[in-house]
Amino acid sequence: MNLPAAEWYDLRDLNGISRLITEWVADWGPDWLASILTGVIGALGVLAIIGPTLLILIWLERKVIARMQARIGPNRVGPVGLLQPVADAVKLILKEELAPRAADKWVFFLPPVLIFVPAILIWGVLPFGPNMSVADLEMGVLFLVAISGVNVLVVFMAGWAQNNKYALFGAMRVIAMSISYEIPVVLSLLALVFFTGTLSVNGIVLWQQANDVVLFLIFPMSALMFLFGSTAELNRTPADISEAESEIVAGYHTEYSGMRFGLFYAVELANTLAISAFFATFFLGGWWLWGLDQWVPSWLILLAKTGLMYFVFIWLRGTLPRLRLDQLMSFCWKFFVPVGLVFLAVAATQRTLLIELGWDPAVALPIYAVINWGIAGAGVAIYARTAASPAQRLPSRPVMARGRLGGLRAARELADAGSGD
Amino acid sequence: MTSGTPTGVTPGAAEGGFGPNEPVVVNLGPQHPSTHGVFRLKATLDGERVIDADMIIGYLHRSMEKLAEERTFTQNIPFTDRIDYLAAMSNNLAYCLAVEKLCGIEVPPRAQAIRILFAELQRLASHAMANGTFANDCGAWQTPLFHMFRERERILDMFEMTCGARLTTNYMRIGGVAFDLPPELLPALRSFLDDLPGKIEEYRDLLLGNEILVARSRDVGVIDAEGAVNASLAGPVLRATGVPWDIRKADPYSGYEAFDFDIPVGRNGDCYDRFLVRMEEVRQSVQILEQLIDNIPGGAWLAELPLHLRPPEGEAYARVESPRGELGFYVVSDGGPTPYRFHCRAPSLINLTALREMTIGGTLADAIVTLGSIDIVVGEIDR
Amino acid sequence: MSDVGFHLAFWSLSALTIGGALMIIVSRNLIHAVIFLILSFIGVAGLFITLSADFLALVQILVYVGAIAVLMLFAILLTPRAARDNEESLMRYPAMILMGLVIAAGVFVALETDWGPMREGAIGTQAKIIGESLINQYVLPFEIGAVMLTAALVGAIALARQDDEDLPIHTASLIEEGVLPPPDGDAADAPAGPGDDS
Repeated sequence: MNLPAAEWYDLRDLNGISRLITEWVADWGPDWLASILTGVIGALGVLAIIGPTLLILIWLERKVIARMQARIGPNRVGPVGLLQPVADAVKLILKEELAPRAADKWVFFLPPVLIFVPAILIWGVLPFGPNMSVADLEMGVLFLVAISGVNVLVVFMAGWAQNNKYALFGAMRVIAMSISYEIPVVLSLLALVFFTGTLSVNGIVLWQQANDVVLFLIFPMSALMFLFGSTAELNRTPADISEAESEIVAGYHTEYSGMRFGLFYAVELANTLAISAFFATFFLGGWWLWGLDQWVPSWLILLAKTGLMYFVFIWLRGTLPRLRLDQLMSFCWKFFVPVGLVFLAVAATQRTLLIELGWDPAVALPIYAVINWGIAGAGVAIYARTAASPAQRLPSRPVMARGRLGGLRAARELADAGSGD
Repeated sequence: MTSGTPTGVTPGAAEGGFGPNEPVVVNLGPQHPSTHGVFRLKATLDGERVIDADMIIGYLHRSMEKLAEERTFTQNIPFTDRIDYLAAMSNNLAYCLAVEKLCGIEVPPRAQAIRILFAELQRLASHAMANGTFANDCGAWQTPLFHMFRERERILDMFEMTCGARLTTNYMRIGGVAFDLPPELLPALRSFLDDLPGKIEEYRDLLLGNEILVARSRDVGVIDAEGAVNASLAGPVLRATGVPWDIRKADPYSGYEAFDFDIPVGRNGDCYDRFLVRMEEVRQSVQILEQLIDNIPGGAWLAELPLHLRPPEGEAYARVESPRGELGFYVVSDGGPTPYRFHCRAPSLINLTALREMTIGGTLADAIVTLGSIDIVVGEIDR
Repeated sequence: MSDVGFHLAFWSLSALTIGGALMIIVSRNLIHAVIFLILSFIGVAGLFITLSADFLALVQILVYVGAIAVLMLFAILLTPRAARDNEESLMRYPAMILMGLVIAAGVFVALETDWGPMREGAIGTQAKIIGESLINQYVLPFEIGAVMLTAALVGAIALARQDDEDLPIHTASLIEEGVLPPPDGDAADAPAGPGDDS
């Protein structure tokens, strides 16, 4: 928007190169070739950006988690262990790929491949810069939601085909959870769509640029819902129950070995990266950073914000235990869905007030932010008060026996003394 | 209507003709990430709910109690290391106490103090392991475990500098301990004791205050005081139900009566209480060690004994409060150089018997947490 | 839209849709059938895109692939005897006649429809147009649909709700198991720990 159509050598807008090639092809070739080429170049460009980023982030994840766990982490392969992801991949490729005899052959074979489709498609609508998305769809947000829903089916195919109970449990869990958590994610995005008045992903960034504000400040609860709902859909802690290691071994990919497992793993990381990027886009301003995007390539700004969000995901993984399936469900249905509906109404009201009454955004937006933070805080406080069961309110200090000793009678005395305190 | 060939490979679905509540049997173990060894829990599930649980043990049976009848009393000490390999010192101590009781041996005061020192250090190490793996079972991705391993590592270093081994220490002897304390041990212990209370507070804040951990473990795997006493449970599992029972207080051995410490008990008898009791016991152990460290008497560390010990005919039972509960050794002598009967009352085995009652009605995830909170050591269960 | 690209897309997507639909019938395994159904849905979504109906295409994927197919899988897994082979059923002859009628109706509609507006090209901002017509012109059907869906949701919850919800799951199961006496007995609060009196 602010940039003129860039020259091909302008690093701030890599789209220039793509445009140069497609215009050259359009000169002599049929125009369907040019449009196919646009897609291919876009996909290759996306892969070229996320591939190396992913490798670095795998290393980063292992390093950061190691630091959180008082360990050193990979430090043998390459300088400071940087080549560890490569070594892992080589190891996975060299491993034998086993298939259970009772597995449903085709349904078992397909998911590791199919799961890449939504994982790559999702990048299509991500704006790396003002005019730097593979397809700046008018309904980019809807596209994002629709494509991430397809993931569930592939995971279900994987879990079902293995003829393994753990895998089936993982698949059932992932379906139940994804269906439930799609609602808060959609509600949070819908609030943004209501407020900014556009379904386009780039449009939301442009809105943030036009109003000089990041949406995280105005809709904190939507950001939380998107973040937590995403952890549920990505199977990451604290919602990694579909591959809960201590319960159902490896969940829906229990029987996959070698590179088949590697593909699941890679897609999980790629999806995490994608969700980090979309969080950065929706709530942190995407490629825009208060004018810095005029000087620094906008895609670098986006990658930096993505890295920040990825760190948050690593942080959650390194520090939180896992919730139980029913707890996740009740958290979704009893907290996120009502609060999401409230914020939908709030966003619609605020938008209407802004447009109809013609308020100055510079005045109205800070007020909105204060109101929304207040509502979000009140919602969290109310839920925290009401959600805990009586036992969960018991103090986190044990009763001290103070010289009492014995069996049931002493236990009863202690309990009476404890209740008297 | 004839049912043709089953086409689905869904577990159970191929049979056809059953209602939606047909249970699924899932084997957790013997090869499973969370069974703490080769223990097998055969859970019958209705959806995610456990409606029956069978405990199948014996995968680690090494016939120690029979083997011990072929070896002399002193040669049996290494076996006790391997019964509960996470609390070797406590097992050494319990066995030595039993044989000393049988022979009527007086243990020198210095040896008694050293025994308490290492038994309490062993309790710290074992509880660190128990609490770390418990958090792991709750889904905390190894982080608490590694942090607790950091502390445990220092304890194992102290074991190593004293007796050369870290896990299977084989340190205690009938009538005392094998070696005197090395000079570098007490400074190491001093700095460890200085650091530990701060670390414990850190763990309290990070783990006991963690809402997810509370939600996962409160009201999970509940057993009440009466049930626990009836099932003959012991140790933190019993104390979590509110019963103040600790062998160190109830039947003091090795000079525990001289120390001032308290017994923490729980309120609800759930997994969180077990975790809580272990956390507090760590602090009480630190208190015991603080009282001990400057008051270790001098003198001999091993009683004068004949090389070939032949206890008089008779039997003896000695018990200690091991990290997992009441650990007892029953030794019968027929006057010969080897025991006529050697039996171990393993707290893990007896605590495990309550698992079925604790898990039924909970979910699969609860069963894992409950199993982790009981803190079993399969070597002790199977022996 | 150039002719070659359009035809390429149209024919491949049509093949995908019809091939998927055929495989649903041919496949003897219900789960496979659902997977082919999804393939067919995706083909339809692609066809919508070739008609420049992006919104419909995305909704097709979101609703049919993401939700309805998943619900079908759930239904198949949770329904007893769902995976049985029904080759021998006599009901297939009426079913064939019924399907023949449906196909005939479809062909008739396809031949009789005036496809003229199709040639007018793509509509611009569809989301806006669809949204505006939903809350202006078609607001009554829209609201009726919403109320019906809510009623269906409430009905589903009412059907699925269990009566023993007031007891904690743990206690209810222990009673079922015979470990605990039924709640009317004196020991109904047996699992309560000693600290629970407070």
